[in-house]
Amino acid sequence: MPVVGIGASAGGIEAFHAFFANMPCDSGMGFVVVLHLPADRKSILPEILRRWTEMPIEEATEGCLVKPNHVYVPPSGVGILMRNGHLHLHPPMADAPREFGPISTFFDSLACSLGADAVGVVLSGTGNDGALGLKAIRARGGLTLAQGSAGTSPQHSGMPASAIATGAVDIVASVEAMPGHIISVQQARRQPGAPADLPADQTNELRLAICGVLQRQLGHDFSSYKDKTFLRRVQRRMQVLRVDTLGHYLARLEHDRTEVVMLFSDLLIGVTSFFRDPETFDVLKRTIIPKIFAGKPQDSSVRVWVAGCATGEEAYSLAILLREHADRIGVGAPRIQVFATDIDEPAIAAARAGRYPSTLVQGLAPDRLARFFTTGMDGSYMVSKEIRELCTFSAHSLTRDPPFSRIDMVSCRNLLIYLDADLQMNVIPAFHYALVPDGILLLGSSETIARHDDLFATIDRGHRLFRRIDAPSPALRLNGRAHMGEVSPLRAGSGARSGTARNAAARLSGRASSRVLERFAPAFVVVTEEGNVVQYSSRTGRFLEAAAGVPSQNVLDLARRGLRAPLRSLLKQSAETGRSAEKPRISVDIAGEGIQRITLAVEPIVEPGTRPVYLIVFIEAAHAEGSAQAERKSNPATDITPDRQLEAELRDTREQLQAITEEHDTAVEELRSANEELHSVNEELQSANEELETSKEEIQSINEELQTVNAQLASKVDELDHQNSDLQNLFASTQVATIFLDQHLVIRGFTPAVAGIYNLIPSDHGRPLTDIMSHLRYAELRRDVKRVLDGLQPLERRVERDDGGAHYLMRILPYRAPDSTVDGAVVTFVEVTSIVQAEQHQRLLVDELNHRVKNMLTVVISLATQTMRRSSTMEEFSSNYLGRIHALTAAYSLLSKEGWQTVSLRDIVMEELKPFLAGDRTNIVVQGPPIPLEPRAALALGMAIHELTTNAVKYGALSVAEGTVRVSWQLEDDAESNHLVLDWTESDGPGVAPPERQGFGMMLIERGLKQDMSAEVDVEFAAKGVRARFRAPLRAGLIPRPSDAPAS
Amino acid sequence: MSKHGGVLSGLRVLLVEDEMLVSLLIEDMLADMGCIVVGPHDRVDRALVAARAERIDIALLDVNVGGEKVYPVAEILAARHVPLLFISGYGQGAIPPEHPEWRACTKPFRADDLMDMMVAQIRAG
Repeated sequence: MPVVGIGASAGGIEAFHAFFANMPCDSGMGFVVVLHLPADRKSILPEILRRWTEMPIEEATEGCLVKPNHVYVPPSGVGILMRNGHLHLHPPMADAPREFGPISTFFDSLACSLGADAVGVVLSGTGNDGALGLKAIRARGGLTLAQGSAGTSPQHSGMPASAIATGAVDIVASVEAMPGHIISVQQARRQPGAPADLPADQTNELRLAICGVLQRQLGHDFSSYKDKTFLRRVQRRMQVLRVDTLGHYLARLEHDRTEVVMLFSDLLIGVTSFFRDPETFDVLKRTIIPKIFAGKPQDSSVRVWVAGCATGEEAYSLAILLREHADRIGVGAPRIQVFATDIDEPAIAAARAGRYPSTLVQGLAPDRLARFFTTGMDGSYMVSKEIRELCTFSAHSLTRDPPFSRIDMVSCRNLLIYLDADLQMNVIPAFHYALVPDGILLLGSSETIARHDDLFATIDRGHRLFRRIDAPSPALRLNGRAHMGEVSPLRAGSGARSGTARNAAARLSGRASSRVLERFAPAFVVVTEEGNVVQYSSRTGRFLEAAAGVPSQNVLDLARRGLRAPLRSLLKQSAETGRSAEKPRISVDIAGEGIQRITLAVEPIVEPGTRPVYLIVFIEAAHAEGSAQAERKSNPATDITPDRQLEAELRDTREQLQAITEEHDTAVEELRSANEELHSVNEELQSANEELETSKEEIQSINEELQTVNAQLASKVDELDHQNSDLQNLFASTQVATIFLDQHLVIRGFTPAVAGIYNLIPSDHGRPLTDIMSHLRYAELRRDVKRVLDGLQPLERRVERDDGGAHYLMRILPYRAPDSTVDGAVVTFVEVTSIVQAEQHQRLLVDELNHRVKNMLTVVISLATQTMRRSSTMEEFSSNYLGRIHALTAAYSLLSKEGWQTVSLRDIVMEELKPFLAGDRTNIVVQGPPIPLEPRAALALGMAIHELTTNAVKYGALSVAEGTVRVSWQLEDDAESNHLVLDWTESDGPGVAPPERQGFGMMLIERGLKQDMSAEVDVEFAAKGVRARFRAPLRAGLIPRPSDAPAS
Repeated sequence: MSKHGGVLSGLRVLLVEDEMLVSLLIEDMLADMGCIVVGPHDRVDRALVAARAERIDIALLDVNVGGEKVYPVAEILAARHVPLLFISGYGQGAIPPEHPEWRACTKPFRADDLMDMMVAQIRAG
């Protein structure tokens, strides 16, 4: 199963969004996301990623299995590795530099574990973590991608750019397109490979054709490379480019130089980067290096320059060789200095760190590995300090910056191949300039010195070793940094092309001029300030001849006897003054002609932007007729004897010699001190540079962390906003008035329901609550809050509005901050008015009940004692007493049924007479309008009716079957008030005689009705039957309305 | 009855009570003690007249009489330094706070309790 490792730093979250939003959930691949995060911050990356993909996101745990269509995120601050399909976590190394950070570590383990199934993706970020990791993946046949600037371009392009710069990226694409690329490459892999489809000999033919392209364009012969390995690499490129057949790929190679270089680097990348081409290093070790050391006294140093060092493996390899040799020499070995330069600053930074994934140090001899490398827990290898100290890395452009000097050996392998011919033209002379005499130049396996065989001699063609020829270095044409931008190695050179068309007239004019120059003008040469001839006219042979020994281009070496000294002084003079200088009557020994006199003229030719050159003209006597005459005029004594002539010459010569010697001494002194100054300045600058680099790295990493944290925070703020909104809604919806106070009773917040209790407006936030007017009858707020804050116990209290209109249950609770410290108080008011009222009502009811019960009991006691007094026997007492109690009970019953409000008069009457209406008795008449009676009246009347009834039963109309009782009542309206008049009439009973004394029953009737109803009572014991009339005033509210139907 | 050695005998007792049966009960108790009942009055206005004019040794006052409170009667009696005793279902709660020295007798009560309280009031007054 392929596993995709995705690494990012600052700006990564945006890139992840685009990546995962476009990655389908059923790709069948596993994903591991490595994001640079500070260790002490909990990563919320899983939650963020969950928003953008349906694939399950898991936080990686130690030993967890990588499942297809799952995404794994390591916890922050922990390194992650892949082995045997499982993820392993390890604590980060304290001194791990960012250049070989968690992303490269993981990629390397992914490459080792999965080989061609590994996919590495580097997204936005600063620094260059991941670049070496991608190199490792590519070396093992996996697929590598980096975020390009199309689509969602990286916010920080440091990481993708360094990855691309190491040449280890197969596909640079927009992050939205990456899923598509990855999936199609995986699909292409699963299909049977194109090479296998063809018959073997056709495959071989195509392979050789491809090797041919490589040979022609890059000069390197891969035909003897292992064919299976070769084809595998080719197949990989085909998969990346989605090319179907070898034939198509060959065609692509033939017109796409970029692809040629990609294939080349892919082929090379499979080989270890340290000690690449071991035979070459062997030759260095056996022959070259010893010779370099041999010439050096103890206090000097061996200086080696590695140009185009990229990620530093080459420089460290050389440093190791040098160190090994120095060890063999032992005491007295010269210092070793390796200067390693490259245009690419991130690569330099990575090289400086000296940490490499295991894949890239394979192939190193075990003893070298053990001696010169230390291993890290994450499987990386770090170059030991003793070697790192020998190397100085700096950014340097060969085409813009001046070269180093006094270098013993220059190694420039695999750089020239990326430069076009014109640039190469400049670089070789720079190396020539840099090297000491007999210095060694080491080039890459496909590079040559081509047109510069005047500068270098070949020592070992096969291993590309050359020696500097002791010729003057050509003028270096360096483009200042201010004027030109960087030159991309793969871009076509911008070399000037000659060939402007000229018209015929110009051509003619040119030809005529040349002719005059040739035939009639004096001989001349054009030289540089140092005297190197850059142009000859014709016929200079009379004045110049080749000197014996090493061939030289310097006019001073070439000049014939007698010309040298004057030439030198004239040249110097002209160079200093910037004007022409002339010296007449110089004797020259011309071959075949003897001594001649000529005039020498030197004139500077200055063209802006180039170094000045000087025109030296050899003017012969014939040409210099005019000047010779002039000379004669000013000097009458033309006839000088040979002796005097010689003496004059000697004097001249001596003077010139003196001048020259003095000059020379001064110059040497100046040079020496200038050199020393330069040297120390250089070293200072180097160390300042190192410091700056370190600060820059630190700032960069802080920056990255801030970016990531910022993205997380933004996400969190989003969440908080939602929660806050929820809270606001909750507040608004709650009916409980709540006020949030801090420890000083300052208002922090409140709910809208507070309106009825405190007059709070939004601007009251921040004011103390005690400043605000309340509607409460309550003054101890401050004290109560203090009590709660001190005791941390809630407090409850009943408070009421000062208008008595509402009651509240006030609760004060301590307010706990998220860290559980007490931060203030929460005051809530719950309206309990109805509860309070209910309680009050209940108390009233209970009191009332008490009262009534006590009253009732008193009544019962009274009835008992009264009845007792008038009863002679127990039976009498019992029947009288119980009868009265029952009547009372019945009346109470009726009352309580009506809720102790009022009871109907009719019901009271019927209650007593009911038993007598049963059977076939038709002679009880009850008649009257509906009249509500209040409790006291109802009870009194009930008792009265009871007595009358009992009396009628015992002695009156109800004691015989034919007796009748008529009870009727009506309302009497008169001017002052309403009265109720009730009549009780018995008839057809036995004769009645008035009692001798008033019984209790009569007393009950009379006094009871009088007291409880304010009634007038009139009882008549007529002979026909008892008649009673009660007349009582009625409260106005109890008068029945005319609409009420009378009872019948 | 002889508990207090007949100290209440012959005393004139003003009774203000509007419920007949309760009134009867108290009248009987008083009669048994040998007291003479002034009243009974079932209305405050009539009780006021009696309180001012009659010769009274001690008064028994129901708190709620015919819908009115009996306190004005009590004030008059107190001004005449007549000892008084409230009869009430509410007990001591019926006493207004201005007169903590007044006593109340809770219905229902026994004759003995009534007598004790009357004696106490007479002795205190």
